[in-house]
Amino acid sequence: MAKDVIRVKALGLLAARLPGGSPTVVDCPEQGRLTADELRKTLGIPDDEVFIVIVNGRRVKADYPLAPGDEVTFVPPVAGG
Amino acid sequence: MPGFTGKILRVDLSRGEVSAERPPESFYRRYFGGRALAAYYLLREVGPETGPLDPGNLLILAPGVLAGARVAGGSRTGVACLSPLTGGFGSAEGGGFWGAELKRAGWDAVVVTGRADRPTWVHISDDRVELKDASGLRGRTTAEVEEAIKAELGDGRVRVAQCGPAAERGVLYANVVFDLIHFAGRCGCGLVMASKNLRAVAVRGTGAPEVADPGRLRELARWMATTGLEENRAFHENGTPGVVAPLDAQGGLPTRNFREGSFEGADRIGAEALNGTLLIGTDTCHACPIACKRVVEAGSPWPVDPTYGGPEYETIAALGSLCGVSDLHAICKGNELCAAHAMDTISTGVSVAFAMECFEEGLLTPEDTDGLELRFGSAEAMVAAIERIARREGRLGELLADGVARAAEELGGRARELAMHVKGQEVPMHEPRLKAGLGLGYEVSPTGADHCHNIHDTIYAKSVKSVMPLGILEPLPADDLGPAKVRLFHYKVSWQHFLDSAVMCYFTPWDILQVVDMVRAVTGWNAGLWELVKVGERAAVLARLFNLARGFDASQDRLPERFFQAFEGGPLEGVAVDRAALKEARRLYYAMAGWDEEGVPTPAKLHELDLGWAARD
Ligand code: SF4
Repeated sequence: MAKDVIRVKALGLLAARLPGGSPTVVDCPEQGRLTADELRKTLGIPDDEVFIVIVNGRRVKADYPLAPGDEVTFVPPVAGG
Repeated sequence: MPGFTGKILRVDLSRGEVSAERPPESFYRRYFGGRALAAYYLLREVGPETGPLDPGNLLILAPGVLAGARVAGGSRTGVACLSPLTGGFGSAEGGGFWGAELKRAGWDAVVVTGRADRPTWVHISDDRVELKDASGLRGRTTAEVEEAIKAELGDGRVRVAQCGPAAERGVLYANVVFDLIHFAGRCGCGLVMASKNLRAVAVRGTGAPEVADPGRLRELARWMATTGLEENRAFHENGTPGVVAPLDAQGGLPTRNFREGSFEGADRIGAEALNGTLLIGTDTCHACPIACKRVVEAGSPWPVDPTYGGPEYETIAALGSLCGVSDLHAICKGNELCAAHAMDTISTGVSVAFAMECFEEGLLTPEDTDGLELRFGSAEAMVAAIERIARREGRLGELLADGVARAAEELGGRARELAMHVKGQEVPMHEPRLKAGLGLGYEVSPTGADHCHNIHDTIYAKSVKSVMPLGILEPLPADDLGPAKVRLFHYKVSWQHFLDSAVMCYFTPWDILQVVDMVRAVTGWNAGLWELVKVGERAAVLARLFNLARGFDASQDRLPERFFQAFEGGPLEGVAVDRAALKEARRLYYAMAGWDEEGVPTPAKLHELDLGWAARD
């Protein structure tokens, strides 16, 4: 995994929201880092479709600062049956 | 009368008689179909002296107002009875084509009573109703029976509802299946059907249900075939197994008998694993372009017959993560076995997981299991246990075929703490430690733990757009159990009870106002959302009264103890259901619903719901 990118997954129906599908990678320059929520906006994923965000296996808050090499997962709310 | 045929078929198997009942339009507007209609019949005709397997119990097959109309999701069928699993109100719904066919044959519902003196199946062909000999069908798989009936009638298009061999052997959670792959899964309705010596009800109709405003209905159907489908492509592609990964990430994927909420094998059992391996196609229900049903096929070591479709999320979790099993092939085999024998995959999986934990804790010994090493993670043991349950084979089969509540009573002691059920109904694959309001729903549902007429709190944590027409205006945290959540719960669950009375699919992406629109278009009634929510609430209250009359009380509105214990790891580490908050929410719900402190609907509430006839004095 290249260190200057962030690997992004979107689960369930959110997968269709990622340009090119899930998983995907986005550039993460050392300068001007994104928060988890800014990444969501950059990807065009509506806030109300995300229940939680997980970074490197841990649930994080919206203002979590992302670093190169991070793995970010957007998780939608689901009912299921 | 647009929307309804105006005729309900009564079948008395003891007398071998059939007749037609013709209720007035006002009856249909009050009780609609599905759950509300069934609750009306059950409360009026099945008294507390009647046992679930007595001839006096009713088996009701009731689709809804939209059945047969060309709109997606409207042709499910409700099945109801006094449940042998819970000893109370039993109600389950299944999709497919049977409901639409019954409507085309000119009937709104079938109400069966009595017990035939020999194995019987019922053939409905428009107005003609015949009782046929089913002696040759006993013990045969559901696919064999469907094939035999079609062959006997020389009609490949007849639609068949049936119970299966599991019911004939007395499995308490035997179910009723439509068209082989659509299950009215819960409450053991299949066992009641078998107790009547009734194996199948086959229907063929040549009529067309009357619709008041076909133009409006066509517009709605066009929306679903374009926008609705476009926005839900991923659901078509993944079906319900698509929720495995998100639930696992949230810590809400029931694992190893609800001890854990995430599963290390989750990525091997979800949609991503199924697609491109065992999945060979999709299937659908009447008039539905979404086609979310899975069809799987597999070879050795466990041949899986695609005739039986494929597993839903509930099945994948119940036979998979809940048993610690990450072998998708084995899960598909388990699903096929449950389908061929017609038994509920949720209750089956919860029973097997219970037995695995009992075995690991030494509460079940190898002597009890005839040597079967019932350990979490063993795919072989999971499949073998299902085969034994379906045949009630050996001590293990006998024990688990009665469900976890009875099995735990028999084993006694600590086994009771491992039995995951409410009112005898095994808990479905959703976590109240993730979704707090869902836990309240498990407690107060008339059918025991149920995830359908319930809320899934995570949906409302960010957006309440879908429930704004109900007057819910602000998002609420998933773990919240305050008054605003209870209000959301009360309104939304009443709406769900309406959906189960219109017998509509929950997965079709109709919004609440489109459903109201559909009901108006089909019936021509000047009906509104308020009236329909009241129909749902009426269904819930009738079901509650039915249970109260049979000796249920507030003390049965209780979650299993395990949910009050914190997860020891995973995304929800340290999280437990807040006992005090849940108790307060339950008290508040009773009050909001117009029930007294003991959970009994007040006479005023009965009158408010136009149920004065059900008031005791
Ligand atoms: S969404 Fe799925 S379950 Fe619902 S009607 Fe369509 S195919 Fe059937």
